[in-house]
Amino acid sequence: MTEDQMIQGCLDNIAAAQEAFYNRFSPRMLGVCYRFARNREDAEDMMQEGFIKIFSQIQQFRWQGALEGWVRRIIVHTCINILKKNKKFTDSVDIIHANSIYLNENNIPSLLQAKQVVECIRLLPIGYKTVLNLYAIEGYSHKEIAAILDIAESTSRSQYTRAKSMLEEVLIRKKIIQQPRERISMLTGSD
Amino acid sequence: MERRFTMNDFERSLKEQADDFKMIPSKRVWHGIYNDLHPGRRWPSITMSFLLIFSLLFIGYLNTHNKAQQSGPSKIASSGESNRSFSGVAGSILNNQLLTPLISNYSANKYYLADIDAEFGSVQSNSEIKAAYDQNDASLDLLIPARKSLGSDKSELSAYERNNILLPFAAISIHLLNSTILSDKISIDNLKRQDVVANLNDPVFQKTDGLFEVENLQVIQPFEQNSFDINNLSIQKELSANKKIDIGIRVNKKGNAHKKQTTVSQNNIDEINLNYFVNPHFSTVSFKGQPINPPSNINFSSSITVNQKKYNVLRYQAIGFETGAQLNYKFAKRLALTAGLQISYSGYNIVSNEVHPTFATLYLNDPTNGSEYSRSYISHFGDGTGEASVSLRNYSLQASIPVGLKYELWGNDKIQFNAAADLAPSLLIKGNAYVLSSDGNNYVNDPSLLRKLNMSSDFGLSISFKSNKFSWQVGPNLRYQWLSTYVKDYPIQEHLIDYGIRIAISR
Repeated sequence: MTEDQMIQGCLDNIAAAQEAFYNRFSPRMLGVCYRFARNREDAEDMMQEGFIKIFSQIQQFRWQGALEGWVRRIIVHTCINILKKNKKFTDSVDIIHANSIYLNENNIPSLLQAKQVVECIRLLPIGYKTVLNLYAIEGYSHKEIAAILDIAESTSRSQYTRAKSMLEEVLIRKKIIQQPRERISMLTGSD
Repeated sequence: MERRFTMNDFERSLKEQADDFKMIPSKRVWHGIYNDLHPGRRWPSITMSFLLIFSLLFIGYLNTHNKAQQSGPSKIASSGESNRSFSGVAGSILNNQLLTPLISNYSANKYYLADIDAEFGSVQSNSEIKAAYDQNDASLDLLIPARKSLGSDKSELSAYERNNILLPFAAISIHLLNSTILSDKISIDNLKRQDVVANLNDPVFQKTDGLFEVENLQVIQPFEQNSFDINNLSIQKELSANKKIDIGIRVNKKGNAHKKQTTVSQNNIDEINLNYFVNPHFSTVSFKGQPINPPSNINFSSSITVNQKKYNVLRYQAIGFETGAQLNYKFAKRLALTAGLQISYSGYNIVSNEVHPTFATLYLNDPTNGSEYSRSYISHFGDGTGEASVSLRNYSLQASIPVGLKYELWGNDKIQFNAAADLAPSLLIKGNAYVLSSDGNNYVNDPSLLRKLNMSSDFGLSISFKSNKFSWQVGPNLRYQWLSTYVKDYPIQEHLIDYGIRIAISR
């Protein structure tokens, strides 16, 4: 089934087309939801709500740009809305307190698999990881993030900086990424 | 939407890796979406469910309503035409055609209501009695009326009469074994005074505006006093010459009805009844088979090979239940065919421990071509040997249609011991499956591995006994699931075993 046929089928509310649509995008979208969610079950709930929204709003798709991008935006917004609705996000934005949160990164297996980066992201406090997800992965600007999350733009920036720093440390410690040279030289005191 | 086009290496690689991250959602998600998008599609299943429930209720209603109808007309009027019937002055006493089948349903025996000419002290056979005689039935139970008049004005009666002698009929049995009948009219002159009389104070005789409702013939009590004289009763019967029968009359005492069931005609054996049961049980499980080891051509971390463990599911049994309705059709003296519908909930608890979300792989077989393939999962649960212990529940809710046999091992009128077994095709309604990953380190949750259709058997022993209105059955029950809980793709076979106490009730 081509993408056009699939969309047309979804517009006609044909179950087979909707299932094909779902099968095509759900694995990646669940990965997106999983980065925002607390656990897999929450992620699946988010995705379910997101897909219901997608199918009910598919007539709004303008046939311009990538379909996946459109789907992804709806899924991300759904995730954010659920987080905000459950107050999981707003309760965790405090940067100062977030600094003291213990990251139990020792639980991350030593296997160097690319997808474990996602698990490292999920270790971050919810405020950090939400901003990091939106900015670094989903490509939203701080201005947009501030609007979406109802926070100040400066808060978004500072959260991102700290989230990035924290994640970087975990990734370096787990040897998933290498330590930047300038930091190495700074730490060792050499040129 | 404003997008950034410049990223440093960290962000780019982060995005690339995050974009590559995929997870396979459980089927629950699609079902939830589907049901939301197509609410109308649920109607067939809802309709079928209602149809099934109503069918069951209808069968139950028919089964009980027939009895109610049959007991209804057995109210014997104490005035008017029926009153004359009881006066014993002349002729037949009751509406035989109406009462005969009704009363027969109240006990295991079939009672033939004999016409009586009380004035002349004779019991006249009707066509049914003749037919039964001609079929050489071993035993006949006759209902004969009391001789006492049941007047509309009860003030004429003494206290004793009001309480005891308003007997609509007495139950007697006639045995037809190895005696010679010499004439068509047989006098019964050896009848002892063991006539029966109903005690109207007995709650089973409900007195309502002059109507006496016979609830259960078995409660007719033997009565030693001379309530009415049936010494001169005779049975008038057309019999072929030289036919050997033995006619004796005895009181059908309480509790004898079932005992004599073995000697009554074939029609009496054919019996259908419906019972409802519940079976609380403990569930456990047995495993067979070995997990598939990671293929050597897969570039997998050495740590998995090192950590390859023996497949060992730490578990403990859980409480489940089984409930439903069952029809019993007694097609032979001791054998009954059983069929019904039941819902069973079985499962067990797995001892696990929380771990940081990690990737786990399950290697499966493709039953169509025998090749192996893998599924990846994010697991939050370890094999149970670590800290932060947590319990995971594997369960299945199944609807099944058991068909089987029940055999009466031993019994009398009040108590029977039965053995039963059945085979039940079942359909999985809902379930959950945590299975060990192929390396044995983590539990992964994948209900899609559960087999939709299965086959199981129940084996049980039971003791059945009667109370006033209900018949109860209680006994141990064992249920074994013949096919694996999981589809053929999964190399481990799991068989659920439930053992508990089955409690059934029927009217």
